[in-house]
Amino acid sequence: MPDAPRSHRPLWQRINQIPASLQTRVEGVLGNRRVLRQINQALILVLVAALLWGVLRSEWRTVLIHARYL
Amino acid sequence: MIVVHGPRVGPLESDANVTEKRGLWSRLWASRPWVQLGFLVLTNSWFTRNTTLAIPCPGLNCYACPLASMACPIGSLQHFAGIRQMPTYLLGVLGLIGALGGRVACGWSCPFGWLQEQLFKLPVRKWMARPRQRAAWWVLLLVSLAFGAGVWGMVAASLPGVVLALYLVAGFGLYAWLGASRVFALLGLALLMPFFTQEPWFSKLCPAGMLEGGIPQVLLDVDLRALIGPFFWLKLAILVVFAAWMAVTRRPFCRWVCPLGAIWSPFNRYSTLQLCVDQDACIRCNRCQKVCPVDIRIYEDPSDPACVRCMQCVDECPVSCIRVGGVWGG
Repeated sequence: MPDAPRSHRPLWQRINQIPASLQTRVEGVLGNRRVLRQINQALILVLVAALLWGVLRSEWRTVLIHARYL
Repeated sequence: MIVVHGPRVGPLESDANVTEKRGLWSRLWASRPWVQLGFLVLTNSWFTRNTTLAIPCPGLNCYACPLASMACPIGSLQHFAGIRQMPTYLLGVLGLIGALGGRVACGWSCPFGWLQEQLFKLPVRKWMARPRQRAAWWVLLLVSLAFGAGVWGMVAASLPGVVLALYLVAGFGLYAWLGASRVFALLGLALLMPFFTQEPWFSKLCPAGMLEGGIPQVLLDVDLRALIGPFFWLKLAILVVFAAWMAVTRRPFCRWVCPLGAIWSPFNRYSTLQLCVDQDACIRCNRCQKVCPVDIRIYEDPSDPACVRCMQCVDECPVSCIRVGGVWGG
């Protein structure tokens, strides 16, 4: 079924489509499996580092004290 | 073979292999209610409280519950926002769950998610609503910057609480219109408001908090009953409204409100665990949608931010075109 005429689309949908080419390009890059794998790897590394940093700073103790004396 | 947005899958296996594997996986997916129940017990096992209370719960579970043995991630997040400290430990734990499984915790370990699925089984007339299409990320970014600046300006100007409350209601309306009410719950109620007012605004209104913390505490502690005011009744009304909504719609809290879902949703696209759909084999029978706890058609987007990775669709698919894969291999 063809898309609704441009003038009949809700305002927010039209706003959504302004930088469509940029968004399509970004999604094209992010849709690449190799890029996805690299993003996943980078995410895990950064998050493990964040977790260890938090543990070293004893942030778990802040969580514990807050939860215990709620 | 075409796979929409998800990693590509390898060639289809023979029917015998597929049937054998489905049998094994089917048993695993069928165990989900028991896994959910297990997490409900685990996160509310009072006797492990002294050792596990520092660990954020992989789901929404109120730590004001007298039996709670794990910390509420959103309550802890609000606490860190209130004391204006970067919660690296908390973000590390929540982020790792997301990076490995996306929203898998929503489907397998969230006690509130389990409750919603049980209430939906009630024999009442169902109302199938689908969330509207979400605005582009850059629109949400601009709106969020403007919203944050507004909250900051109002708190800095010491405007009356009524004005702030009206601003919040308007903000919720705007985000809901953009299809991102969960983003509002996370950004507005769980981060910005606690940051500026040192009050946990999401917890103040949370129906899970009322069910697991508010009601049991009032029942157990006679002194607390004297402190019951209009706010208690407001929270109770919110809980009743959500409970009624849960009976007629699939997981409404997860789909429209949960800030934890807002944290994990973006991970669905980049997580190690992925769902793969063989678009050529898919016959668009929509049986996946019929069993989906969040009412989505997985073949439209296998990395859909709403997907809670329950894997019911994998088991239900009559042509076995949906399978569990990973970002590392098909």
